[in-house]
Amino acid sequence: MLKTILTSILTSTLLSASIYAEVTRAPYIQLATESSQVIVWRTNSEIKPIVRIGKSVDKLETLVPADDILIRRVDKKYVPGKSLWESADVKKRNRQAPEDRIQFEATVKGLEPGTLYYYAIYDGDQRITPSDASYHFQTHPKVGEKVDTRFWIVGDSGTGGKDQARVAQGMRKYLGNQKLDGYLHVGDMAYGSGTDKEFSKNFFAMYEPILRNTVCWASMGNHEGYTADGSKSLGPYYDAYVLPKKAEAGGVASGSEAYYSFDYGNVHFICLNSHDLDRSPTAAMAQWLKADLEKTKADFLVAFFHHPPYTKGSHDSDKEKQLIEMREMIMPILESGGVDVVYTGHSHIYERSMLIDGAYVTPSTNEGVVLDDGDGDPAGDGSYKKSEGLAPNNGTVQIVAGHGGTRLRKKSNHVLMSKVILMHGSVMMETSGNKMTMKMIDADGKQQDLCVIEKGGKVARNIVKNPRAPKFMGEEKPISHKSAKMPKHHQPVFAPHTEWSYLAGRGLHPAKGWTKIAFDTSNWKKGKAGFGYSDKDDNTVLDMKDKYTVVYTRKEFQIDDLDEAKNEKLGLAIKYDDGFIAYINGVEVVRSGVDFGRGVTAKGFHNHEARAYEFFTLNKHMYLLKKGKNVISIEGHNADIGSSDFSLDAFLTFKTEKK
Amino acid sequence: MKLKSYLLALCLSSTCLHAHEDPSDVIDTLTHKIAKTTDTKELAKLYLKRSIELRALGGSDHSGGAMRDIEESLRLNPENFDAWLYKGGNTSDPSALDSLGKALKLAKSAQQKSKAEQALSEYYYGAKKIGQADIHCDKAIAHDTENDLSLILFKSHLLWKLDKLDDRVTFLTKALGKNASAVLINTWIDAHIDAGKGSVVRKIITKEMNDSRFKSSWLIRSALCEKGPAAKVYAQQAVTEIKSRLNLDRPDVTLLMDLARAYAILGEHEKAEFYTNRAKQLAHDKWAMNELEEKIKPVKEKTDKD
Repeated sequence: MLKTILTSILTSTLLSASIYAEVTRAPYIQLATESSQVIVWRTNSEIKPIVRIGKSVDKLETLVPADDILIRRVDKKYVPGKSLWESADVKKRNRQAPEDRIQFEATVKGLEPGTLYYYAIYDGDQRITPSDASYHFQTHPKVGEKVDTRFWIVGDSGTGGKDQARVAQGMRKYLGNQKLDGYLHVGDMAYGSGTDKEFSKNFFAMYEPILRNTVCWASMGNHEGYTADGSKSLGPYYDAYVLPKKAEAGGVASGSEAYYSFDYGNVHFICLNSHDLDRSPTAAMAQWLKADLEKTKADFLVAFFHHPPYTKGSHDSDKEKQLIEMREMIMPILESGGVDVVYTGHSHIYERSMLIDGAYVTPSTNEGVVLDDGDGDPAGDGSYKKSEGLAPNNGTVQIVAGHGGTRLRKKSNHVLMSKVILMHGSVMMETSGNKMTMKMIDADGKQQDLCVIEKGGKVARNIVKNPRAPKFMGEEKPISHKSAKMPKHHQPVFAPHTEWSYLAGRGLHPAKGWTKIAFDTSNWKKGKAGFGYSDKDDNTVLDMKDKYTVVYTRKEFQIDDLDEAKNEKLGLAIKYDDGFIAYINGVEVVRSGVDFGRGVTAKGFHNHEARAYEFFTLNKHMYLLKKGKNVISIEGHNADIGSSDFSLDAFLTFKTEKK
Repeated sequence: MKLKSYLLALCLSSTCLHAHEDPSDVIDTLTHKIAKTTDTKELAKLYLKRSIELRALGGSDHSGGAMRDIEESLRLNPENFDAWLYKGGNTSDPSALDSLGKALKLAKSAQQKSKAEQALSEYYYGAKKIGQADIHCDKAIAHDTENDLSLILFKSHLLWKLDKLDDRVTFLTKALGKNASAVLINTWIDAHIDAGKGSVVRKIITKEMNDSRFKSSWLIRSALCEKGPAAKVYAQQAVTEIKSRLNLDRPDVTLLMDLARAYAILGEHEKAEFYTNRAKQLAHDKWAMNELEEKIKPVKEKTDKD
């Protein structure tokens, strides 16, 4: 970690080397082809842009002609609704960038295919990028050439938070010294609205070391769609990327950066816009898709877009229009064109299907559409077998990679999935010879799923009757809360050791909604806190030992002056042994010692002794308080039914500056 | 981009949640907010947002709810361009004209004007007033600074519908300079064939056919440039290739459409109609299906004569 921080400091220092200009978006590479490469960066004032390249890091002998560096400036006479850019072809760029931002897009031409080049950017004579071998790119191999490839696939990552960073670190740990040939992002890379500022912070800053030498081929998510328009290719998303629209990198011309294709050796990639374009099979995007599929002669075919045709994660593909239409209208075209794998996001989960074909009906069913219900793992049930080349309707693997950094969720297990994993991570796709391998890599760099498509000969299309159910792995880990010492000065919302309602006994669990204000506890017992046994610190002694492990408690309290309360720092003071989950007005606010679940489904307990009151800050939950009646509910858990003691003694309090 | 897709995207853009949740969750949240909000303008926005989320869920129940929310939103704030456009674009009766007229009056940017004119064009098309549809499509194109391909394709269809086949070729030839899409090139080729100028594009068709992995659409275009037995040879080859790709239980609509055209060239009228009807069952786009239905007729007659 320290090394990373030092590297970042060094990099940012060097990138700010110019006396006048600051690099506001570090160099990143875009639109790679067999013979060209685009390098993009931004500064906050004018520079004399010079780009040098060479095959050795010490010999950057070739100068990119000034005419090949497009300079996009923000129009300072900006009028709402009109273009921000001054020059001719730049009206589609930087609609939200700060006025002083200048974007440079250097197109390096005349390169050799499949060749490694190093680059450096200068402001006149002054070098902006450090003398660092990581500033490099490798041109694409010749279209159709059978080369090994490795692509990283990420979705729904753009929070700028620690989980996003961990996923990227996990990938790098997994990767080691191996190189990436490309990076596919399946959308939602800049929460919450895909603004220019959010792109800088949540995407470019986060992935800077990767983006300087790996092209990110992007598809637009709904969050980018808040500020970008697919039909016009306008907005910060389109400002950020230089994407093919004239078949620069292979495929046929789409005329739009919203959907496009490119080739990398013998793999053909298709990016679609599932968000804000007409998804009808007769509309422009589908017509282009058909034309593109007719032309490609690749050995492998990969499609990627944001909205998943199959998911039961944080979204339901049987209920939402965009997801249903991608399944019913677009998937038939992709599958009759021989697609091998489809990567999507949107749903915050990892879901990987069996080998399927023709699964277009709503709601989804697994009848008559599963070609192989195995796990696709050569060491398990065996690889998925497909015919050589791109055989129509020969089976597709669907991968929802919406687990790139934001909060994970699962509604149920989709019937077409082989593996469902509720962990943060990303996907690594590798092709070699006649095999395509997909691996789910978690945030610790560990492989959590593997499936392989193996091609050869002619594989008949056989439908599996009664396919297997999906295998579910992992569980969303609740946020672990850390306590602090009790503050020196505090003002209790209600006094310690006052009366609570409680429910305790073998097999006793409250009805749904027990944590909400309106819940009726008239048949619960009353007792003074704390609750427990054996350690002589309890006002209400329970008969828990060897009988039950959980106790439910509730206490109503009044807030008379909400405005005054909102200026205070609310906290929970609690002595507990072994774990607890607390709720205010029906919403979970803090837990400790219980990793998963609630009530009867709780598990993952940790031993903890109740020695003194610990303080858990609840500032961010202040919004839950209401004027008048409120309720705090706490479930206390013992790690073991035979445990020697149990304690639960809590009160709410405001931390104050003075006594 | 179709109007409805635009509206969905536009309105979703104002429902900015930190990380997008299931529309059902968002509807719950909005319902809660609506119950608590008293400010009229804010309330109008919330109704508009909820209507879009309801629409995202699809189905007639949700569509009805979506329209009720739109109407409530407009009652609270009649000065909302997006809401009028949404209402007009999702109503098939003549009141749509009133809604779209109000949207047009409220339109400020060129993009808004283009969207409103496009919606009017689509309304008139639905009402089978093709001339009026063409006039408004021209206005939409005049306001469109971004050379939206879907607008260009719609205009092309209207010219075909009006039997202005030479004008269509001229229009598409000019459009080629503005948009590099392969779809536009293919439409330009089709326009030549429709105008009886297949010889102009014959070499391009042959080259594309030779370059393609799947050749059926180019075989059909080749057939349409030919007469007599040569046309039937191409069409038969197309049928053979399409059948090798077509999953008849769960078909690709674009292949069904090609198959219908190929059978029409072969003079197998019942099959042509059968596959056209299958395509119509699966695709919701009226004008593309209308064009297919119309196009298999003259080919059928021509083949009969041959």
